[in-house]
Amino acid sequence: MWSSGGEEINNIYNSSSSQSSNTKTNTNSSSSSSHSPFSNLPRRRTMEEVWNDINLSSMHQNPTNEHYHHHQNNPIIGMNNIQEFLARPFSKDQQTGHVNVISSNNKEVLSNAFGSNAPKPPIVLCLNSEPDFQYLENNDHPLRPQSRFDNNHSNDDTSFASPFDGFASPSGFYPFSKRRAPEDEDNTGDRRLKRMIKNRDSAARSRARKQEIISSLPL
Amino acid sequence: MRRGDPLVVGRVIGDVLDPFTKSISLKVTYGSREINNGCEPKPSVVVNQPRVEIGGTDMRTFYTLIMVDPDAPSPSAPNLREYLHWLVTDIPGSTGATFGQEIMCYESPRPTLGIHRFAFVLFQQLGRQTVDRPGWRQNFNTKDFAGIYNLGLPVAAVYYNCQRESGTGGRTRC
Repeated sequence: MWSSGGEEINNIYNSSSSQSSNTKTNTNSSSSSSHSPFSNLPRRRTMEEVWNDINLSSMHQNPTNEHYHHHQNNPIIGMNNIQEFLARPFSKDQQTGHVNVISSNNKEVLSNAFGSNAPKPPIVLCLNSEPDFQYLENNDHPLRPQSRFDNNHSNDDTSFASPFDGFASPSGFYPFSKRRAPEDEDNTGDRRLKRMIKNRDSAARSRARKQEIISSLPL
Repeated sequence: MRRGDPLVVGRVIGDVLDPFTKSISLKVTYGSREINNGCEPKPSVVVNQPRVEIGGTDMRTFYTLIMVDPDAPSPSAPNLREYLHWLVTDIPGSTGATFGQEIMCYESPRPTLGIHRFAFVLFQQLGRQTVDRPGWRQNFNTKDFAGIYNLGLPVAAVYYNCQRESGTGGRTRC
């Protein structure tokens, strides 16, 4: 599993890796071509090496981060390797100000982690681009039923309160659709019927009045 | 157009009264305006009690006059049917309401909702009688009252329509 991940990251971080190591491998391979069938290939960076690189570069950005000093060379998370980091329990408390609502994606976890503790390193660490943070944090986004409840409580918005009381809109993501309960539909039917009866009564009275007037006219 | 009894057409017979045969004349006049069945004076015309002249030949026969609004507070929802506007007893035959005993004084029609009917009903009494004044005007029942005091069926009746002063006159097409 990690090998595939490593390959992925290897492609992205290839530019960040020190050029010297590549040239080293190249010279190595060129000088000792007979050693192994795979020596022609550039040496693949492991996840561990990438992790260490990240840690080191962040240390430059955050020299005063006392919290992690007791962990050797691990200024960000205090974990020795990436497996430990990814294996940690998902909880909001580890991050500051981020709501992990829908993300079960490793990429998002990583970007959340780095975003909260330090300004983004210039290295291409943003697996998710910046606008996505806005997306995730935006409470008004219609695709987030959870935050809509928060809006209900805080905004006291009557236009939301009635159709969505207690449950997310069944039609999904359109705040203006109204799903009437069957009870309401019955009531409107009754109301219409009553209205019709009243209307007919009024018409009958009117006709009676008219007839009176006509009957009182001289023949 | 077939002409029926105006009291039936206007549903006074039905809502207020049982069918009867008219036997005594009844003339109601507001100022100079005589009331005919189904006419529509404005409230300002009917604000004061009308002159009521009854027929009959015998001044020893006494009559009871009742004026009610069966369309209170509105014709489509007459919860206060009938609203008693006037009650006069012991009217001697061939005289007028001013000669009788006013049990309930005249209250001006003040319709706010819809077009109301205001009906005058005349009953013949068996003799002079003492009538208890009703405690309130709304939900009066002419039929019951007649039953209690043995008045029998009406001997005459007339009604008019009335709506609020600024009313627009009801439906235009019918």
